[in-house]
Amino acid sequence: MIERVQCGSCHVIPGVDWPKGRLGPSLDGMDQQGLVAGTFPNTPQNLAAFIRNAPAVKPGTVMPAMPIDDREARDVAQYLIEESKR
Amino acid sequence: MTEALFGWPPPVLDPMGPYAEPVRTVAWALSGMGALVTTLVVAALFVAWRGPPVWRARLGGQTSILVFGVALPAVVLAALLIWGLMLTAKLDRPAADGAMRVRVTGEMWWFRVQYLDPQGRVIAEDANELHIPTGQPVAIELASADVIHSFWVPHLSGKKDMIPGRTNRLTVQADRIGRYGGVCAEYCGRAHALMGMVVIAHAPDEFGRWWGARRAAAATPKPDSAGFALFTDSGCAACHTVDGTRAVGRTGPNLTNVAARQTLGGGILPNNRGTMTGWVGHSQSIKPGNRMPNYDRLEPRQLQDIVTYLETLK
Amino acid sequence: MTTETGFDPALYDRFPTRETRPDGELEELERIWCAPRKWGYFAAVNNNYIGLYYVAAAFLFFLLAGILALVMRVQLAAPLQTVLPPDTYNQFFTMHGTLMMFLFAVPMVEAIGILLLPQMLAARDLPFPRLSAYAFWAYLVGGLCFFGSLFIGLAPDGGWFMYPPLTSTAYSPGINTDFWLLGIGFIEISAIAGAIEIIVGVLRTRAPGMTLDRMPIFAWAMLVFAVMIIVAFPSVIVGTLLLELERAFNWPFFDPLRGGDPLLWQHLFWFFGHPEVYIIFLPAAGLTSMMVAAIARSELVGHRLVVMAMVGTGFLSFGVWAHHMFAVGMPRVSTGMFSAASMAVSIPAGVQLFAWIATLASGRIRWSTPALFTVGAMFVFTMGGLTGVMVAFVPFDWQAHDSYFIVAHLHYVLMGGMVLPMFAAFYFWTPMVSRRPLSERLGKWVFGLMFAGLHIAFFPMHISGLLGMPRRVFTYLPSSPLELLNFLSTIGAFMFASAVALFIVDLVRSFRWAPSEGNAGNCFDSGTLEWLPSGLYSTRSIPVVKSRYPLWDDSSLAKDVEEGRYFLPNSVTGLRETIVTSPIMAEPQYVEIMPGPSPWPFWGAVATAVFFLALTVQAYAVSAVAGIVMILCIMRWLWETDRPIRKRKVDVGAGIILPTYAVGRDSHGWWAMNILYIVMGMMLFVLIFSNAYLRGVQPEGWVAPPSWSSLIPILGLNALAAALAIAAVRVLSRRRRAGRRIWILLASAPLALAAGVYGDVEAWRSAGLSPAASGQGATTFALLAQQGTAVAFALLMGFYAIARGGRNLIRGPRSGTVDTISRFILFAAGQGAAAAIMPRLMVLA
Repeated sequence: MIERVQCGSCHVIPGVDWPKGRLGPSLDGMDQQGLVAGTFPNTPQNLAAFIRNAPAVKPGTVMPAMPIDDREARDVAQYLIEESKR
Repeated sequence: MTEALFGWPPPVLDPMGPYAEPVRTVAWALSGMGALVTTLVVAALFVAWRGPPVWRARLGGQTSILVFGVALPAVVLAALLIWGLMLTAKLDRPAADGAMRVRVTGEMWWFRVQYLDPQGRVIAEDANELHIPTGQPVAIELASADVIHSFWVPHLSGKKDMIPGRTNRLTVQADRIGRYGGVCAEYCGRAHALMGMVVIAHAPDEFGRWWGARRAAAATPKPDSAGFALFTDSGCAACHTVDGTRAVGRTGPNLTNVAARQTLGGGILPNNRGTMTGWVGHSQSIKPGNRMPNYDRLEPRQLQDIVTYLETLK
Repeated sequence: MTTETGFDPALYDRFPTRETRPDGELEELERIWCAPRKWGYFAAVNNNYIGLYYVAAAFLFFLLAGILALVMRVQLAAPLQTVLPPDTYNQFFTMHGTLMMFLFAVPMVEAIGILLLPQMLAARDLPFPRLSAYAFWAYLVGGLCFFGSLFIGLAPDGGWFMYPPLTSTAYSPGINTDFWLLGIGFIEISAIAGAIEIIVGVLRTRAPGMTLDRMPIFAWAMLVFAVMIIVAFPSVIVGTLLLELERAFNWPFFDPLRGGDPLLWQHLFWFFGHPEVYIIFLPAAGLTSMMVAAIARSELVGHRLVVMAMVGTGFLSFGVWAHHMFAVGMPRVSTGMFSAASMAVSIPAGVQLFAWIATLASGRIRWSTPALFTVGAMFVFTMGGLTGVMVAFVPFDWQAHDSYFIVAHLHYVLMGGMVLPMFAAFYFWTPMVSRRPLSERLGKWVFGLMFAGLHIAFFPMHISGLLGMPRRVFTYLPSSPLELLNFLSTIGAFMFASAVALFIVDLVRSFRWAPSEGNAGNCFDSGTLEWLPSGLYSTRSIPVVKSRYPLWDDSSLAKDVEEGRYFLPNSVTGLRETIVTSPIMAEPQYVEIMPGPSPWPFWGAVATAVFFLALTVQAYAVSAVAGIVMILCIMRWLWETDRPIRKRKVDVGAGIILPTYAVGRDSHGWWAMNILYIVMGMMLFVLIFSNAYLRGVQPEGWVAPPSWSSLIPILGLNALAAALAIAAVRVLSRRRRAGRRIWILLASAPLALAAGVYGDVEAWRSAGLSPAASGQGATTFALLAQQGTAVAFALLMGFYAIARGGRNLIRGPRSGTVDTISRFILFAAGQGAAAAIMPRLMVLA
């Protein structure tokens, strides 16, 4: 999923060699982060919601709504948290 | 995308048109010849080592050198040469007058695609994406804006170089609808590895519809928006053209229908809002050395507006 | 029996001599050819030292380039990795290719030649030992500086064939490209120097009686190799000079906007670049031909066919260069011609392959490590040759060109054609230079790992190429077949590397080098002269050769040679010396006095390195100083070389009397100078070709030539210089005492040449041509620059003549120094005329 929509264009993502975009924050160490987008408590639900439709959750963010459904967003959130723990 | 422009089976052995088709036969025939000769050499080595004395004596004379080293290769090579030259002439023949004309220009590190009318005037411009109708030859003129590149869409034909100061001609034809990947095959500097494109073959009527939509997009007036203002003010318009607006930069790709394209960044990224944002904001981390600067100094809001504007360009 | 020089072949029957040799002769030889001590290793010139230094240095570059390849394979083991940044990767593959082709392959075969040839020909040394030393040191110092550029991020990054305009200042503004041109400059110098050495060595220092037909096949290979260097390298020399001129002074040779053409570079580069492959392959094939004979304990079947095949390869290889350019859009006729030649060139390769197989069949294979490597090489080379036929098939090449298929093809050819035979040769000839042979047990492991590794590494690349993977990519996008194939290639590369590592372990354990203390001897029961017992002076006496495998045909030869029963069992002059023989029949002609150890070649090479390095980093003052030091060092080393000695005739054994000094056609120096003229003539030809080529492809805007009357003074001045040069030789031969004053003629002739070239430059200037304005200007002035360089050399020679004349070192009636200078002036006068006439004619064409 991360490969299909290419989250890597903006973010450094653990386990993804390329691209290592630097527009958005690095997502390495997502399990350690206190807040999602510096605003919400870092829970898988919040993270998934933000991934799916960031502007709706935090108006004004650069991050666009992604063309994925809820389940896929949860998978991505889970991947980020799991990979960071390694 | 972010998957190779080609998959299994190897495109050279999986031709999609008459300018690639004969080479499949050639490839198999030559590989077969190679396997046979290798077997012959291994067999001869085995005879030399372990063979019966009579065989070894026969192999150990000058005659065997003349037969296997001169006569046999001469016959095989002469046959191959004749076949090769005939095929070269056939594949190299220019397309008939009246064929669709396209000019593809290699630039560091992307392909500028221009659709030409029969007189050679540019009627539409695109980047890293060439749409063609199936079942008819397309005459491609290959040029270069800077260094030597090479145009290679292995499903459709062999490659041909794009050389500054020259125009090379290549004819391609796709007989089946589909997306066919292409790459730059001549080393052209830093981002050579990330210089790709796609050829999209439509059924002729489908191609007509696409072409109509493409022309309409160019002709539709673009309402001024916050995004467009930013697009011109931030300097995008210095390099990019959007037909029908005052953005007329020539250095970068024409963006008139950028949102309709399948790829971004020279055939390397899928085109969605996320990748577009990432590309505009920080393309250097995705394709190091490409000629577009990072726009990470823009406010998030501004970046959003620009991307929103770009998404209207279909 | 006919003779070539009037030498009576019946005299050969006096050998081996019967009487015992006086005591002390061997000790004297040992004293004269003594081993260097301490810093003396830098002054050593003997081929036993320089040859091995050379092999070791070339092997070092093989390792360095191999390490680069390993890092690249790690980067490509999986898609989209970031082990190396793209810029660094681009530098890595450029350096890998350049090091392997220019700093490993060519120098390695040349090195093996320098090490083995004198032994095979039973000469005491090659005819110009100091030249070998200079070539080696220039190569080592230059190569190391070149490699060092990688550590400061300034390594070239344009690919090993450096196509402009990517390498022009517009797209490569840094000095990276200049480093490439620098590195290549060194190799060009040392390759040409080595080639001159080898041609003269093979043609003039063979043992008496070793006619061309009895010459070992490796010597034939090296002869063809060296001739090919002489013909091919001038093209790349001119190419690199033109590119540097374009970069430094903006002369638009390759700029299509100003009447240049990027394809001109491709023609110049590949006219050298393809023969280069055979330049690498032929010596290795020669080694293989020698080894198969020993492996089967049977004479090479089809010896003459193999010689013909090698000469044929040499010819054909100059007709195939444009097969690297099938995709540039050439006219169909030329495409067909180059396709035909490219296929035809595989016939001589087939002849050699089946000659080896026939030899193995006619004898009995005795398996050993060299035998494994040799047979393995035949298999690998066959595969590489067959993919070569595939890409000579034009429509297939349009698909395969510049893809990984080509990467696979070229590695198969070079591995099978050169690397595996080289390892075979290491195992085979180590007993000649080491007191202990390499381990047969480890050797078999080395072979197994290497053979398996190279197939696993390179075979999948054929398929990667057909899958659409272009060469020279720092990464690729994910796709399951490509990932698997690339991962396999990486594994194979590491297997290959482990084989090389194992070889080094073996080398450290077994190799014991001390050329003054003997060697391990003829382990593989070979039949050629390099296995005669020898010391630093080579063989005690120089045998008469009566067959191709003298050791097999005369079992007492080794003993007789060792006891001094042949030619030159002693030092007749108390100096280093060898017998110079006639080129075809190898009849003894005179005794060459050889120069001994000298530090000047070393210092000259260092100064050369500083000169070019300083040019590259644009420190022009330093470079000027280094240039002067370089010239002084070289003159200093030459100073001792042309010295007639008191004993004009000497007995070289069995009452055969030979002179100790020769001039003209008989002398080895005459041959060397003629080869140099061929090199310069080829450069002239390539420059004229460049001018004509641009006239053909970019005919617009050519400036009309200066008036024809402007030619009269230019040609007149060149004729005057020629007349002065001829007069110098004539006067000296009539009046022996003229030696003191002859320099006046030799020093004034170059002034006339200089005036001529100056007049030509002015004539073109006033016609409105400037070098930076157009391709015509650039190529025309490049021709004049070549003439200017020749004139500068002539002026230096004039100074040299003044210096020697002033010290009364020029003696009549004939002097090698006077001959050489006079002939050079003649050549320069002819070149000046050609450089004046051709660009004028070209505009009319």
